[in-house]
Amino acid sequence: MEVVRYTPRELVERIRAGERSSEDALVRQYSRGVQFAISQSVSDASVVEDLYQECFRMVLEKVRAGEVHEPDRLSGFICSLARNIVIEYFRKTSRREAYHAPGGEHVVPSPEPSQLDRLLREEKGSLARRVLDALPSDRDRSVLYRFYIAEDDRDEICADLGIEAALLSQILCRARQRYKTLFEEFAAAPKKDSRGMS
Amino acid sequence: MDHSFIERTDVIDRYVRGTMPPAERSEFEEHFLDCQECLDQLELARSLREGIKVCAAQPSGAAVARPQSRPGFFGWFSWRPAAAAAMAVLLISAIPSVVMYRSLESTRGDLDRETRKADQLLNAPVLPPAVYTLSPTRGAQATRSIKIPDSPRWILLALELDTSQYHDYRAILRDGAGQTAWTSGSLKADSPDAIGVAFPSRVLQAGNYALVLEGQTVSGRYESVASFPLRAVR
Repeated sequence: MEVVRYTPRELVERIRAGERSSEDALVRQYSRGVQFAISQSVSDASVVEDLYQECFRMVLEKVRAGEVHEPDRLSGFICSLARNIVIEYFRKTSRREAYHAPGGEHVVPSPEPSQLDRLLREEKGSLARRVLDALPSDRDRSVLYRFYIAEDDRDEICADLGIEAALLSQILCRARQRYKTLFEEFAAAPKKDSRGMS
Repeated sequence: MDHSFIERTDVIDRYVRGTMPPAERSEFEEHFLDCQECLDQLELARSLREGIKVCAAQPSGAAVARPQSRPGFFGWFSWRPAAAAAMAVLLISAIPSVVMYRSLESTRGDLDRETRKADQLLNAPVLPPAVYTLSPTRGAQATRSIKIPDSPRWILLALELDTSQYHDYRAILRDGAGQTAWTSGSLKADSPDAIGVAFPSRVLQAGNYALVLEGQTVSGRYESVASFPLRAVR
């Protein structure tokens, strides 16, 4: 079945007119993006899920009530709500923490990874190693290491390695595409052992 | 935000790394929320980044045990200093050039520093932000202590104030000498009573600061809304 994609304005107008199927369409259309944006700030998957639910509850409530004044900028509206929900979550946890330990720094505890999480992490590590090994030069490996692990500034990396910013972009982009290919190969390959890697 | 700009300026990778200025981050989030192409790339970049971290955190023994046609990730870091040292000895015996020796030593020092830096970072988890709630009070403002985290992370300040008067805000962090340590523009406050300001902990040194929040008027001018005295402590 073909999934119909509406423009933001169409979505807002249809929901305002009481069309329930358009509410589902809105959630479908923005679900992945909202989840990604929230998970960028919150690491606990169950909290991400809660905040995601809360976000769409509020979005639908506000769209129904006609509180979206610029329907063409529905993405911006949803983003702002998601951001505020995340801030509110941190503010609440911060207050709770302050109650127990006044003046202290608040650190949101990360849950212990499950066995499945660990397995997935190992797979990612294995694929990433193959990407790194497949890179044509030490310079490219250094770019990935410094960009992703050391989190050095782009300009600093370019200056140190004597490369143009455009080349740095290419190296990052190529690594991503290589990772994608390996991931697709891995997903399509018949499983040879419990981890599915030969 | 168009795709050529996103590609040219590494927006995907910088977003995933979490080092994007808040205004640019907001703009990009607004774009990717409804862009499947960018979401595909974001998921790939996040997964690759996590994979590289996992891969880098694995014991070097495991990496060595695996047959490789090229030096592995850690292999690269382990053979480089050794090669530099061997090269230095050869050159010293063949060409007694103090300048060249110093240059090689410097290179090796750089590599050692990078390796040490890597060792510190490899096992570092993705740290959650340190969160503080700040409320303006009447009269003399109480100074709020902010602990500088041992490991770099984001510091998120939730500023509780009436945000209904301005559409856009900017935040400026000034040190004790009044110098700007960090600034961020185009902050939006859709909640009527709070606005969030996030900055990397590395901008802080021990000492006094003031976080100044300014609101943009209709004419485009900024006027001061609130100032929060802070003290960064280790």
